[in-house]
Amino acid sequence: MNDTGHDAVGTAARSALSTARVRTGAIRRSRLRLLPERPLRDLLAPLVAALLVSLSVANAFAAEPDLSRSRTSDEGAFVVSIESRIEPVPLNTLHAWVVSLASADGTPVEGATFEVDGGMPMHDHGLPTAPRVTEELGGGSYLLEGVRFQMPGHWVVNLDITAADVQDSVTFELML
Amino acid sequence: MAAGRSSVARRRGVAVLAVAVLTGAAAGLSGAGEVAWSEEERATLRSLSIDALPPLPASPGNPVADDPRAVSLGHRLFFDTRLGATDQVACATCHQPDNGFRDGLARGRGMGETRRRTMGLVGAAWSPWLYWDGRRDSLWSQALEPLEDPDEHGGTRLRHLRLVADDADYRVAYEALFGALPDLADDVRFPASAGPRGSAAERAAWEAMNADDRRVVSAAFANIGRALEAYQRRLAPAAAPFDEYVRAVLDGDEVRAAAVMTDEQRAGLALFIGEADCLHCHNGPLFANGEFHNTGISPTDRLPDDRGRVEGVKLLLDDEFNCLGPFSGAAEKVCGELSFVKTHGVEIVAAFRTPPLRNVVSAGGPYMHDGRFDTLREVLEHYDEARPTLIADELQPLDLDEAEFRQLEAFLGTLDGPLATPGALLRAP
Repeated sequence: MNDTGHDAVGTAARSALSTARVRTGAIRRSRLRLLPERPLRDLLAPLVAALLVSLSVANAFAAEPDLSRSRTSDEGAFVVSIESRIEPVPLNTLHAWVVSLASADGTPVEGATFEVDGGMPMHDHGLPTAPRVTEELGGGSYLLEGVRFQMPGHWVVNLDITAADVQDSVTFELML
Repeated sequence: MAAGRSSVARRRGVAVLAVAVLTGAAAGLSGAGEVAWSEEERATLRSLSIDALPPLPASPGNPVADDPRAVSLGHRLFFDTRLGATDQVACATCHQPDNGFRDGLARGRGMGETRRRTMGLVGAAWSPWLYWDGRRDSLWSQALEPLEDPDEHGGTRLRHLRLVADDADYRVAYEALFGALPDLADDVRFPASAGPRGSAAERAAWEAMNADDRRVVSAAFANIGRALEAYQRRLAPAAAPFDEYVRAVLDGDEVRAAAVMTDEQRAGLALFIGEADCLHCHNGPLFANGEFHNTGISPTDRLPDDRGRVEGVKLLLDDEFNCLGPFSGAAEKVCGELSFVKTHGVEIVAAFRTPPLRNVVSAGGPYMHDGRFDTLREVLEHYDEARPTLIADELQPLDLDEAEFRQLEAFLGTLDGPLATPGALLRAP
């Protein structure tokens, strides 16, 4: 059994590792691991955690998730807000979100396309459904349908956004 | 780790102490083994309670889903062995009311042996997906497949339709609900038995029918499923001791709470919603999230023979009776589950649907999709070990000790309760 400190570092690193996989979309690809992953992951976790901290990129997925519903995209191109049509976000219920998209200066962005991805970093799985934007509501708002979460815990939802020539990504965190 | 005491118990002990200090009086009411629930835990208990079960969801594609006449017809069909190819297999042959609508077998047995364990039916109406692999998206479409499965009823849709047409009671009941049955009198156009999953002769006879006639037969066959759904929607759980306990806890009635569940059962509940992480999949008032998980049931020395959901979702999309199919009649906008279904991903490989846990003790084993475990203890040991799946690692080892195994098992027994179903529907009409 790990002592508490070790466990926390390992947990943060596993989270960061898995999140990175989710965010790069790797979790969508079929990957059959013929060797158990956990021992390797546990071995590497402290090293990777140290590396991430030193690079100052771990703060986005630190132990305390950032649950803000409005975020600036990774490269600063967009300000993105989400609003669930059902609050609080329910378990085991298919529902829709409204995504509001603006440029960095606050101008609503229309005509954007979205790729939606996500999952539970701690549990090594993606979303249980395939949500997608089905409708542009006008004024930089978009209807994201087909969202469902099937268990409590820490979730991430990643939006890859393309508007005109600009591409950027944003990741929202949720605690259910 | 403290010697002689599990880490789980130690962590809970700290939590209980903290709550007791914060709330003062609450701990004073409790006995030696009392668990003082935090606000978050109380919210979890509420979410698991039968009182949190939403009303029956709508059934897209089945306008008679809640029509009592359809319940009655479905009830009769459910127990009718004439739906078997040799007049010996009813739905109730495998889905036995006295056994939690299961059969006590590792693999279902109708005309032959099926590939997986018979699933229980209580509460099935709340699940967006049916079967272990979710290859059907409604109870009405699900009910059709066994009727034509060579290992289950082994019939064909035309044979089943003739049974309904030739039985005066069935005919009247059917036509009151769905309108006139197709005229099957021309036995050249409509052979005695024909269907896409029948014997070679029955498949050939089906292929030889003209497309319009096939469509008419399939549409009427779907109505048999709609009646069977109406019956199965009535199979719902009622309050179990666990639910009485939650009511008492939420009422702040510690005396009543202590009378409903033993210390051991309450400790098991604390594990269930805490360190044992059972809520990962067994959440909500049916203790099932309706989704698919690879829990390492498949052999670990080779890739699994049964690929579960990843194959089920293909069958679902190809199913002519799915929500968006030609026989559904449902508007596209109410077929959300199918429209946004996950079709790819490593986590659906060898993944199987989470079964509800209500009455899991009284229904008895075998357990898991392939019926590989005879006892709940074996199931708990499986999750305790959480061996690698070779595919996706959702589980972490639990390190339960002997007392904790017993506590979890004791808690599961508190989910045994009656059904909210009239007794007359639980036996043959």
